[in-house]
Amino acid sequence: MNVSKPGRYIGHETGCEMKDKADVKLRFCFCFPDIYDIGMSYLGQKILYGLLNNDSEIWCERAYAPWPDMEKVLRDHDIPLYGLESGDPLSEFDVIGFTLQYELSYTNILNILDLAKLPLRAKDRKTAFPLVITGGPCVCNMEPIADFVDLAVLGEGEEVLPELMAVCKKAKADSWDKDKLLKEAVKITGIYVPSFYDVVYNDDGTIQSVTPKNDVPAKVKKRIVKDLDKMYAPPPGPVPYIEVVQSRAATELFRGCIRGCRFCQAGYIYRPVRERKADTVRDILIDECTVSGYEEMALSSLSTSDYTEIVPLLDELTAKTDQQKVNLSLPSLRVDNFSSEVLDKVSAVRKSGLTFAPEAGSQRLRDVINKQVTEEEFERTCKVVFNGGYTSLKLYFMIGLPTESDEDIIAIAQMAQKAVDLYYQNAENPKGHLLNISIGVSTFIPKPFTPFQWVGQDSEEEIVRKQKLLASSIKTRKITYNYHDMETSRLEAVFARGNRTLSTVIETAFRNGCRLDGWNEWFKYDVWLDAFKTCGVDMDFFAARTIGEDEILPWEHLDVGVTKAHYLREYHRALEGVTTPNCRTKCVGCGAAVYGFCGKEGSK
Amino acid sequence: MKYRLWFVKKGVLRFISHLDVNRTMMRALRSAELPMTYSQGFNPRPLLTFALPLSLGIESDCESMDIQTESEIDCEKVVEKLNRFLPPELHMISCAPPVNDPKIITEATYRIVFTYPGVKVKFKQFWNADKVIVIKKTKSGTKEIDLKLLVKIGKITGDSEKCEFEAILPTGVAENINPTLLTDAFCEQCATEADVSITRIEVRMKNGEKFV
Repeated sequence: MNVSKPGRYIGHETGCEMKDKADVKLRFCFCFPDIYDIGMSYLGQKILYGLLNNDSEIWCERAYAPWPDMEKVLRDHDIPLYGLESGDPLSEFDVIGFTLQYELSYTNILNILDLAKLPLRAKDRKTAFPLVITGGPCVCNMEPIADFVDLAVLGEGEEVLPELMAVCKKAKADSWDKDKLLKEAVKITGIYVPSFYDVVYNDDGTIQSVTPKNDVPAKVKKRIVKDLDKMYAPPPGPVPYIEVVQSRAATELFRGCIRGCRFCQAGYIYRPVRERKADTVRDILIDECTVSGYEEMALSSLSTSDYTEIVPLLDELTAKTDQQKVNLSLPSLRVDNFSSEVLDKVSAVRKSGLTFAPEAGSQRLRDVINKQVTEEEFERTCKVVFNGGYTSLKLYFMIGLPTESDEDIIAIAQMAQKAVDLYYQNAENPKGHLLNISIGVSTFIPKPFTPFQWVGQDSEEEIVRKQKLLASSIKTRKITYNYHDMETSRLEAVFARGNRTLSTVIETAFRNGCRLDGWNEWFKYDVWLDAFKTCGVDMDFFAARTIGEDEILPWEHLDVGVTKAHYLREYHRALEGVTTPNCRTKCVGCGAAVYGFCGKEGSK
Repeated sequence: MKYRLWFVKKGVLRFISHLDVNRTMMRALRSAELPMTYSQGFNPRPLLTFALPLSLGIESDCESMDIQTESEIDCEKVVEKLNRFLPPELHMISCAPPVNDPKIITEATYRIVFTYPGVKVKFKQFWNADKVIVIKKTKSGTKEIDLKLLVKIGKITGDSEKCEFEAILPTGVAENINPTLLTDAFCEQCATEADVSITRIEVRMKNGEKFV
């Protein structure tokens, strides 16, 4: 066996759905465009895999991007990429569904299609099936890969997929052609068929018009689940044999976020906020832990400590975790409402590390990005953490944020230093090498459907200068400093705000060997630069340019509920350094109330 | 209370490592809600040990793992519960209190099958040599060993496409020869493309008796 971790390619896990293809009407392959280790850690896979297989007429299988050693084996032996359950080639499936979680996975989609021996471009796939569909957050601007995709689901798959599958079953039974299938599918709210929208560009590369064809709506509307307590609760799904990034029982506390941090796409595209009842969360998690045997359970949301019933829920869960020696993980904690009560619960079984994301070092810049964390709250949280016996703390920041000055960069080091000082202020804390404050610094990437969607990204030189400035501002070895590589952040910015002219660049880069771009060891920036050059596409046009407020945005024919007027208002307030209250404090009319309810207290 | 659980590792599940088996068994045990005894300390884990870790790529009819519980368990029920979690390729066969100490295991029998045109003749030639020297990696480096002195090979059967035999190899804490040393040496010298299948079929102690 010349392949590393062959356990990635064998299926047969506990919880993996085996059916007879003769018994089903539709075969779906859920593809995660990264390796098994990443895809198996994704909560959405569990939900959709369960949901689709819950329909006895559908068999949903899984496929992942192979690691290059396995890709070589597949190509050398002419083995087409296969579904892990049946081992059948992807080309035999009816629907191939990709989840778009991050922009740097785009070449993996092309690689998977290519390994399945399918034409890359939608227009070259003449038959109705296999139908190539996408879902997930990047659908809100998937224009860079729109030419490769037959249709996309905007919003939450639980709502749209059952309706789409019904259409697909009918199409298959009645042998519809592709055009008819797409025309019927697009009648479902939330379905986006890129080929039904004509994009015309101005001479300067900006968009002149996006024209809908075939009577489709001018704007595709996002679909969401209204009541999370009534939502389908999936079984644990396949339990991996190999060690993957995260294998644990996990379920969502709520969708959406009350906060409105101005850089955060997730905080906008998942609006409005919908909470689940603590009882629902508890039952799902405890059941999943028992069925799967996982040694860890996790509460998932964009901001765990904002969950209204967090303390009673943790009480009930820790009773279970104590007894079963299961670890409890609480990602996405906030600095401003973290209490010793919560800390006690997390530390009850294991002391895993704590992570907070102040995002910016200075109060001024935190106001610009609307990250409402004050210096006093940070100090209070540090004290709670250190008094709880922790000697390490991770802090996440961004550099390259709008209006950022050198003082803001230096303030990051000062904030970490503050944590160090607070630790040593308490005479009871042990001295020596124990303490570690780790700061992780990423580069700001302007994302569609955020108030910062118009803002240009700093140049490579400027980011590198700021990274160095920060490094030189750190005065103690108690602080560990990690930063992201600028090259991937720049490419991500290009795709995030990209349009359809990028499809040739992505295809060229893929043909020239780019794949697994999210992996340092496989990322080939020089090949990407060549591809942009060959195709005559300017990266800075997409990444570094400040977009005019009157321009037509490449993603403007998609509608996630929040209005452009709100984004503009927030953009202007940011530049003035004015914060906006969270939606529990005061509704500012972002537009998400169009769904008939929103996160305002008591207004479910 | 101590129990020894016997299971198989077959088919595609030969491609998961010993650590993967360990992790999967921990989860199977948790899912079966047994009164496991946990280790002390920061990260409590259920007490679980394996007599002979099996290398990735090798199948087995006779794997064993020892568990410790706080109270008596119903062996039959435990096998049934664990099999509800485990796939057929990692199936539990039986459960009983352990008899022998894994430290006194000395040898194991493996069934080895090569598939390739003309492979039987080639293997007979290979094994007819006076010495079969291979390089074994040890903790302190590498050393040359002669497989002819260490490995006993039974009757070689098969046909024009196939070569099948049983091999007895030193196995255990004192001396351990991985069967892939033999199969790799053969494939390198004679028939690189041969498909190789190795299955551990019995584990024995110094007195020649089966380890139970």
